[in-house]
Amino acid sequence: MSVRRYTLLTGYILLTGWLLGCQTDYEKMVPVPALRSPAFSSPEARPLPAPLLRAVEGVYAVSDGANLVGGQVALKWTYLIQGRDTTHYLSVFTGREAVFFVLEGRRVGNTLLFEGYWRKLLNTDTGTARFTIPAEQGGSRLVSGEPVTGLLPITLQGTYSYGDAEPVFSVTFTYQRPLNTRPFAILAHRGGGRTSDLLPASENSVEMIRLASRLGATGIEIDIRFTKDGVPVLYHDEQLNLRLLKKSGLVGTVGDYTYQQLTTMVQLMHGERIPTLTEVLETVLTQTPLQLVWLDTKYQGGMETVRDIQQAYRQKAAAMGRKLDILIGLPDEQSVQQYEQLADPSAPALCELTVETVRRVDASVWAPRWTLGQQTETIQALQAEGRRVFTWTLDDPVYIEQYMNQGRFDGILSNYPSVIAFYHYAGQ
Amino acid sequence: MRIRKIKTGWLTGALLIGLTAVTGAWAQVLPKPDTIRSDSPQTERFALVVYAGSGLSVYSAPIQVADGLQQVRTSRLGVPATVRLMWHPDHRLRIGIESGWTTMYAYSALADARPARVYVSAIPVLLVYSMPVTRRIALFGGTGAYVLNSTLRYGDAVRTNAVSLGWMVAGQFTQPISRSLGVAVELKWHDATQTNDTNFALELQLVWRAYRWR
Amino acid sequence: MPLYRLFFRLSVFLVFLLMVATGVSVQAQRHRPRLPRTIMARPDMPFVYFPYPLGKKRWMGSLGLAFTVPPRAVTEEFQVTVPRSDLTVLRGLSKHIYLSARLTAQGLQNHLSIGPRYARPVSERISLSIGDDFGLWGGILRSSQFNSQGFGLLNYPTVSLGYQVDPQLLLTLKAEVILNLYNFSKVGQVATKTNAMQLEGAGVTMAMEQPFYGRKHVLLGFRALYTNFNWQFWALFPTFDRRLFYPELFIGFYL
Repeated sequence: MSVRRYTLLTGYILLTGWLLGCQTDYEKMVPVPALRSPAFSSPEARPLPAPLLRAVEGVYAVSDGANLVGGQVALKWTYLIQGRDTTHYLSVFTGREAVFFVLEGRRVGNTLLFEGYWRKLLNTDTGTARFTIPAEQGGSRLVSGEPVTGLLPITLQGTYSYGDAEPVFSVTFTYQRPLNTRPFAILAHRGGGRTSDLLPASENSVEMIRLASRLGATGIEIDIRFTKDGVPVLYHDEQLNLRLLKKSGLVGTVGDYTYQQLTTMVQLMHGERIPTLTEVLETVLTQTPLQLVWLDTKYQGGMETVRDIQQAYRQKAAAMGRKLDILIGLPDEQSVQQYEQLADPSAPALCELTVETVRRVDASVWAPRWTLGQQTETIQALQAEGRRVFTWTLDDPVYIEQYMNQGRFDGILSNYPSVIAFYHYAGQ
Repeated sequence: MRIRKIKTGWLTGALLIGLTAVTGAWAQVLPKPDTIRSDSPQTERFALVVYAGSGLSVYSAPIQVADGLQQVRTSRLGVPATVRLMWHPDHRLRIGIESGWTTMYAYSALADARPARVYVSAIPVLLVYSMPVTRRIALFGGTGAYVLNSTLRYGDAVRTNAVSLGWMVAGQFTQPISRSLGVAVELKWHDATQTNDTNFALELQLVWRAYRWR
Repeated sequence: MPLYRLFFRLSVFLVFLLMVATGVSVQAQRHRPRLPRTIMARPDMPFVYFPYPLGKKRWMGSLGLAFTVPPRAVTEEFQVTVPRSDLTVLRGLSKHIYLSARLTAQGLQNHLSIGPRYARPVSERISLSIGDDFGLWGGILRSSQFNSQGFGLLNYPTVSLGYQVDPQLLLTLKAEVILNLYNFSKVGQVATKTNAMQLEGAGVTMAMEQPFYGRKHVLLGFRALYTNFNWQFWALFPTFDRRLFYPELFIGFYL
């Protein structure tokens, strides 16, 4: 065989490897663009006062930029408390391909500035976003505290980019009406979203829970397991694996290790430590506006410990004047048996099983899987008994629209809470 | 992690297709091969061949440790062992099963001023295909599961295991020493894809044509 | 990975293969007496992937199993492979054109594709084909947690390049594009459908056909799919608009 033929065969092998090697990398996170304009970062830029924040909330019509966000968007403020600092974020929820914006606000004179990033959760598209409300297009009126409704509508004029570049594509939102205020639970899966959606925080981490309300959530679902020494922690999968964790050499289950071993040797995908249930509830209560926590039971035995923590934080929330529902999730017969053994009516539960089981254990929430359909009559019967009905885990934007428009649910659990938020707040 | 993933996929593709391409291209120019004994009379059409051996392995994937660990020391070397049973039919393609044991890696560190040590090994359970390239050289490719064993010594010792999908490719040179026995040198690549563990192993193997029939 | 990068890689690869083929052919001719150019004779063995004209009214078929490893993004920790039956049947329509049908089924995951191929040998060892398959997938899932059904229509334009190593060893490289034509799904009483043609991704298949034992021949193959939508996982209603990697292994025996 000639040298030339050896060379050609080697090339064939290398090129084939190159071709097959272009598989998607699932672990990388989509970076959050952090570019801000000089005006936004200048000393003259002042934080927005609270009444002005509320005045900007609403449903807006989209003129420029509809190809990215659709014809309508919902703007809603949320906050995060860290230490003595409270940061307010303006989220823009859309009905198109799970696109959302997260913006911060400043005031320079009578002009309002909003800057941040946008992200499409169905894929990895992201970019910088900047908006202004010029003084003559509502800025002066908002700063003076006048009502936003009137002859001259509030207009957010903005631009966005792809990636961490200067924004150049136009987008314009014009105020239409206030947000829908009907009570509805917008529940974020795994503390806010999945690691596989390449969010800037790992699922079931404290960092993800801090992010959840910016993604549209009013409540979260989290997965509880016990370590070998009986500490309830947040972790979804049965096994320690590279879907959720950085490589460490440790395999097996959470229950194989003590909390000290886990917290020392293991990190979640984006470097966070596996949090304890107590740590998470403290974060929810003291740092976020979240109003509901669904404790999904991934353990066998130990429900008394979870119940005690649930009660401690319900009391703490009541003492703070905070509305916070904490529900023990009952996904299977084993967890129902554990719950029945508690025989504690003061521990509210959410049951995923049949309606008969919901009534037997007197669960305050029934949570059927969305793939069972809308089940309108059953839902109405349970609502008549004073129970709420949530469905899970609904991500398909087309089905979300149908379930929001036609369904009778009191809440929806999703990996895309921003889509649920759009259909809820923009609903009439 | 990203670079590592791409390299693994790239290498997997290259080795798999390499098996196909090299075998195909070379097989045409040579007579029907026999990796046990070059002059063995082809009286039996079928054979069961046992391969058993050991050698040295080098872990080829990145080793990652948690932030905050100090004085980290890693070890990539190990001593693997292989047992393989192959059915040699009357054509090029051979099929069989393989198991054995291989060290992946180990590391030690100080965590909160206390010593911590992690040791990872694997037991492959693979369906293996093989094709001869020349009279003495054969390529092997396998797919199946790796049973990963992990031992943590930090406070209490914890021994756990997990199953990962995985691959194997190998190239082997066999020197016959009798009608039924041969000695082989094998270069092998293990890849447990779900746990991101890969190693190269160089082994000396005994090849025994255990049973033949027509 | 953006699709254009995949296509770029695929194009470079195909161009290189042609260069290899040409180079090998030229090299071979330099060392041989000048003879009239010959075209590949019909392989002395059955084949279903190798792109060689089947001949009018001839049948060929294989039956085996296919294994797809799902990406973690879709099936999360349950990254298990459930085998599907895999039946391929070819039927010659004319000298160069034949019909290729593939049924791969498992109950929940079922897919039938059928389409014409035009095949032509271009040298002593190389043969090419182009084709276009229509795929129909469908499944029903009813249990205590599911009341779903779905079906859809796909289209796969394909190009295959075959290299006959010898009359008893056939290598095939097949490239395909995946177009989604129609999707219907129903959950309870709520139904959705999409009927806009959408480019979902692309795939590359390497297949090896050769004798196994006695007069039995075997087909071994590897298919690398990079696609937004994979019909096999319809029941999970995945929403990713990202081209995920689905490796697929298949083995077949000829009928």
